[in-house]
Amino acid sequence: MKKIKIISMLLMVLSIQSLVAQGQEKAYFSKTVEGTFEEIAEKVTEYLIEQGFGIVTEIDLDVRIKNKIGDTDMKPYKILGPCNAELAYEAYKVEENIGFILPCRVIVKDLGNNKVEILMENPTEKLIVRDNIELNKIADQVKTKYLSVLKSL
Amino acid sequence: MKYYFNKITNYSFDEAIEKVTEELQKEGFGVLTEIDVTATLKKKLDVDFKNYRILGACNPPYAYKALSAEDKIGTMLPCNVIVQQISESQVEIAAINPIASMQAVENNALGEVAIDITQKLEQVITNV
Repeated sequence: MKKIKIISMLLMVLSIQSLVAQGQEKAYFSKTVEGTFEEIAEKVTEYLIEQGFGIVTEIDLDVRIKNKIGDTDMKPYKILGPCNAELAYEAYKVEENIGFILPCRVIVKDLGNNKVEILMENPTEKLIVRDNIELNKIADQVKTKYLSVLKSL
Repeated sequence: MKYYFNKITNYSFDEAIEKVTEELQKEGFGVLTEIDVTATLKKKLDVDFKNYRILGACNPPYAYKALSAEDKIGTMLPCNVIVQQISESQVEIAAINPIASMQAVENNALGEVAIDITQKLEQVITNV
């Protein structure tokens, strides 16, 4: 009996620790690589597709902003919306409001001097996901795919 | 904090999209992206899903202000507006609450922009 109690307490401590670790996770993943903006944007798109995502949206934010407010010093800034239909549908079945955070955003940002930053949302850290264990499991699969894209770059 | 604003309307699905696009424009938002979730799920998974559209709304001057304060804010753009058929005669229109979703980004300079954008999106939902 005592043993069981100790084990269950241990498990509790472990699960709390893993929660804390989750809480400390970054909201984004980022990597800066060398290359031209066009070249890197193309690579990111290609690797995302290889990981099973469709690119459902694409916004050249710098162009949109310049069109509206005139010339700015903004460098190329692309927002890609990758979405894996299967995982998105699984997520929807767990949480109907998932549509508010779909698709995930991946940013390709020109830093100048032949440097480009890639910024990806950490799907497990989105507010709607964080406290939902089922949703977290699905988001974790997305995260693994993202990290693999970043690693390939 | 509720992370979205919503209204249930008696518009048809197409009317609702038209109406919300119009109200977004009045508040300075363009619809930069549009995802036909119904068609995508049919095509990819052969699932019959209700009418469901995700509009990506963005107010470029505000986006520029937000980016100047926090260059990672692009991961929250555009703001999602969802139009979905919830019954035969009812369509729900909902917009994300940017303040709730921006809490993850700790940057006080963003506060003002987030408040303005939130008020504008709330206004859109009130007006549809």
